[in-house]
Amino acid sequence: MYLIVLLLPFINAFFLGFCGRLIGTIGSGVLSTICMGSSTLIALLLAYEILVNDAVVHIELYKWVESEILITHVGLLYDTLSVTMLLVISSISTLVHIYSTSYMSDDPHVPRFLCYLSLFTFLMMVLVTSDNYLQLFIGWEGVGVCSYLLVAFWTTRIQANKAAIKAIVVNRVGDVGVILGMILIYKTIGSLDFSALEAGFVKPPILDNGARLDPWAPWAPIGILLLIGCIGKSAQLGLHTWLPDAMEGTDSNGSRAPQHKWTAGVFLMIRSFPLFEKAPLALLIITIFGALTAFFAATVGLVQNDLKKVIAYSTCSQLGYMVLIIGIEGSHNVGLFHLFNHAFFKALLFLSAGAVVHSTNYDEQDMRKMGGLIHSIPFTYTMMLIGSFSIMGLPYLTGFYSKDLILELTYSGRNMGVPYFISEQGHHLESLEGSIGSQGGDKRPWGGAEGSGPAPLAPPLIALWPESEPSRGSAFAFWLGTFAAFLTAFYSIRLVYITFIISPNSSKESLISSHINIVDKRVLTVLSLLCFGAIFFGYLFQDILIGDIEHPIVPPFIKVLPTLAGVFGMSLSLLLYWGFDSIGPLFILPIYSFLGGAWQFNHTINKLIAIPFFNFGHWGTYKTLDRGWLELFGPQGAGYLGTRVSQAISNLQSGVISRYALVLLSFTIIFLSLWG
Amino acid sequence: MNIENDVKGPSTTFDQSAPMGPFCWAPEAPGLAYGAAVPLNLFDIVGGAFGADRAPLAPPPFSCEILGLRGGESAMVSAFGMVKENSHWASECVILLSLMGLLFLTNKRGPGSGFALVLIVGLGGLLLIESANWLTIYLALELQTLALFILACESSEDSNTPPESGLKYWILGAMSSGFYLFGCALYFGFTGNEGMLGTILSATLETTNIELRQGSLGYLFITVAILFKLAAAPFHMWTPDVYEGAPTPTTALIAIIPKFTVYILLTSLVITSKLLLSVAIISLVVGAFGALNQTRIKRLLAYSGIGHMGFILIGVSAGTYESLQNSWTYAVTYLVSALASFTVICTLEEFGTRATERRRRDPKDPQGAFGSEGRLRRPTLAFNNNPDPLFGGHRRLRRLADFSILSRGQPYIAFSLAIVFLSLAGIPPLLGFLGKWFILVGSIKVAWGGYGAGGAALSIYYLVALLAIICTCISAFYYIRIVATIYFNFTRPLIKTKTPLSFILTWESILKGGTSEAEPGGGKSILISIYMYFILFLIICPQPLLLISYEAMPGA
Repeated sequence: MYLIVLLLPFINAFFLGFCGRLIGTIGSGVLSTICMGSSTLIALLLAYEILVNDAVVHIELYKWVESEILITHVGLLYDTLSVTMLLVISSISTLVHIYSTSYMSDDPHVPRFLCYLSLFTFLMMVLVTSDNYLQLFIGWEGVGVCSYLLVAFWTTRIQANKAAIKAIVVNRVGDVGVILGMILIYKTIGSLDFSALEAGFVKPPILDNGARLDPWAPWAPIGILLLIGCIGKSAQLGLHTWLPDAMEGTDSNGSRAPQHKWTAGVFLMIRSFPLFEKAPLALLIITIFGALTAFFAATVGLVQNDLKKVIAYSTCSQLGYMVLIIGIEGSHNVGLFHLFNHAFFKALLFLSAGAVVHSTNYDEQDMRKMGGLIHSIPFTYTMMLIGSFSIMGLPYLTGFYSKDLILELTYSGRNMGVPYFISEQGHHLESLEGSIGSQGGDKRPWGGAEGSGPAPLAPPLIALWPESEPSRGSAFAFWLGTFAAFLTAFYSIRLVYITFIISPNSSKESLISSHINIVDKRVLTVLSLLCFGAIFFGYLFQDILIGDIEHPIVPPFIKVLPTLAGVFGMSLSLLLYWGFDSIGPLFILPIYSFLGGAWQFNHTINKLIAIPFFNFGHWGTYKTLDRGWLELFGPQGAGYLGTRVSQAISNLQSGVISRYALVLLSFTIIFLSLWG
Repeated sequence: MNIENDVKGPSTTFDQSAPMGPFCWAPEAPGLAYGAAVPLNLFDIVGGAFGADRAPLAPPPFSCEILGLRGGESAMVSAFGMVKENSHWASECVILLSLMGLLFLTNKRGPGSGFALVLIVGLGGLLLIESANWLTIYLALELQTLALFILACESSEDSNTPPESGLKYWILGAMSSGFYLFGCALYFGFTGNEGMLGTILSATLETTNIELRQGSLGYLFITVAILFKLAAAPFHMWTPDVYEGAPTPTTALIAIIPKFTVYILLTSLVITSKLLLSVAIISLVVGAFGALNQTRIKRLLAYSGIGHMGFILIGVSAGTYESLQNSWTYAVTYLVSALASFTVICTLEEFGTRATERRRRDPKDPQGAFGSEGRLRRPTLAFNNNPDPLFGGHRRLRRLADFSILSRGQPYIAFSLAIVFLSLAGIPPLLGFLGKWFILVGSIKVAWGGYGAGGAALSIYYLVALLAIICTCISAFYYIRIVATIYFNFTRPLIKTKTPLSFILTWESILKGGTSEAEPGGGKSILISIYMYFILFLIICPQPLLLISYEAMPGA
């Protein structure tokens, strides 16, 4: 069972890839529904066993890499984290498969598409169930490749190809981070297993004299490198640029595909949490990146006119929340919880958006050309509205449970207070402190007076933020996150309002489209199921997923602030659009274009990084190095040298026997004189 | 004048009379007498090697002493003969087995076939291995070499190569014999000892004792003579010409038996490793670069042999037991590959001979579409309907271009040849890779430390290993070029008759053996298949070979 859940998507992909031509569109749809559906059912069973019964299953299949002390198994690890991910992946993927059979019924290449999707699902499952970094990396790279294939599925569309290449190139930056992080992990603790990752922290390296104690030294670089991987994969600030393009360029087709891909980065962070817990600097950077991403993407989402792009930026923003909460000490499970919730309401939004786009005549994606669709597709409108409410975090919908908790935990601000937290929890650093005290007396490596409470025990790094509670990092994150919640409400309602409620802006023909009023039963089923998830799953899975994390005690105002922000944003949006019918005059034009251009990230990156790199690559490494020096000393030079030397040897071999004898004699004399 | 591109160069001055056929040297050859003597002597050797319990076959002790061989009673008792520990049974088995393989190569039948001379070469090799003092070594060496002179002088049928190669081999061989004897004289003169291999340790070479140094001078002369026989690089000049000029079975003989036996002799001596190392490096370079612009298959094989000898000498020069075993393993793997390559080439030549003979018998049918029996011959082969002069006219397969698209006419032979060359190039799953790998790992170990000759790390071996890898890369170029020629060279017109699907039934021809010129003789096909088996699959379980190498090397 633990293997079949992985194998079923692979079998599906295999048959669709190699025999999809034979079984046809309907056959492939049936096959993938059966395979993926069974996989989901098994995942549910596993969820019962592991989430509810609280068992952890670890299967070592066989030895894979065995090199000196690096021994890596191909193994499957089923714990809370991986089974949650498995549940998300299999269920969403199944729904997407079913949805695609309806959505793509006009397309001649449905088997190929479903094959890519199934392969993607399989690799994602490999990623989340692996028990070591190396195997995780297989899934990590495979997911990247599959998302490339999916984004570029319609190979004749130039935008799709460009977006796909952009996605894979930008992701490559993150992959380098992951590889380097893996190497550092191996170098530091000598193993790549996750279990060893936890075990590796049991004994911080204490020197004998106790004079220099730096137990966190290697972890900060590792954390930052893994964070770079996460930034690439999960579209955090800086490397987020591939995500909106992948959404926009794919004509709403492969757009659902990278859906799980961006969870891979967050998954990696959650998986590596024992590592981050000992790297406060990395935690701080994670929090800041997450908060900035949440805020940045929300601001950009405000002014986008492309339906898909708004949802893409909202995804980006929500991913920012997830990363943000991982940076808060000890709260990574909340990140997982938000990931879980987000998967459902975001899938609901995406699939509804797909339905909206598909219902227009020309597959229109520009919201400004829509409007009034509430009359033609009321069901989709309902779904969209529920998804938007959920993402806003309106109380008692799915999004509320995680988003609220994230902001509260951020406010309570444990992230920079690592020393306090550890001393509260009676962590091993207590004994560590004792040992130092006994050995070094008052020679504390990071200063501080003896017996003045838990505060002084802080390494130099942390001593930068020793006093305030909550710390500046988490306050920064809290306020940005809250503001992002406000913006989220704003753009979600804007989206719903412009698309569905205002009077139609599109031509008459687009409304009298052939398939506008037809809601396919498959789409209906899928959206209904997702709608259920978007409403109830937060409540249902709350206790299972976040476990023993308690709601922190915060002032009542802070407690209701996110909700208030959401309601305020919603009202403001409605007010603006209802009252003024346009948002344009209210924004000063430069700000509007700045936000519309996504803070000019593409332009800046192109100008500062991409173009210089291209130039260097063309003129430096290619023209000068590869075609120049390497060619000269490599193939060409070797060929020339080989010919010349060979010719010289041939010339020596003249066939004249006296010359042979001369060579024999002269070499004998040479050797004799050298070593005789 | 450059003989590289034209064999007819300087050698046209020799007599090119009409083709003499297989009996060219039979009347004056002493082969008959030797042929009668050889089996007895072989039994003597084997009996002597395995002890006296085989009483009926063992010669009387005094004869052993006279021959300079080990006595029958005891391993250590001999006035004249073996002083060293005998651990050469494995090498002797290798020699005898490869001798068996080599005997299949010649097409000739009857008294003039030269079997006796081949056997004498083998006998010389066995005696050489068993010999213990300089005199018997010399006698064994000369016994071997004289037989090879005769064999190399035999002109082939189409007779555009008169006995040039034999003459060259003879003159240069005489020169090396002179070196050897001079070295022996020096050695004897200064040490007063004609036997006792290995009495001069390498350590004494560093001494200032003038007598010992002059003794070591003699030792160096002897080494040069041995390296000449090995065709190691600065002393390799005779090799390409002799290989090219001699008939292919003789070439195979020259390439395999003397080299291997002399190599075994070399491992018994203690020779300054610097000399061997420099010779190894030069051999690697010459073997890699020399073959690059060769257009003839046998010259190419000669250079390839030089390069492989460089590899073997790396192992010998390191001087540890492990590296000696590695070099022995390498020698055996090279032996198998070389045997396979020569067997395949001989087979192809044999096809050509049969085609020529049939055409001679049946002048009305120049295209050879119909056999003498009148039935339609299976159009299996390229040269049957091929107007190309290669297979139709000449019996020899000389140039690399002659292998063009061999795969179309002769799928199995071509496949075997390709595998052999890939193995020689050291492509991983094949046998050649195994030997190269051991040698490289061994030299890295020597360089890494603790295992060197003096117990010290010889870091020069890092560079040597690097150079060996580079030379292997370069030599892989020409090996793989042959494979490409066999399969992909479409510059020549394609043969009209395609290979029929019935080529799968080649097992029939293998079992029946040589019924038409289109099919290899039974013996050769079986031989090729055996070699292929070892080349392809030995890497799956190489432990027996390694165990034997452990047994084969002295000191183990």
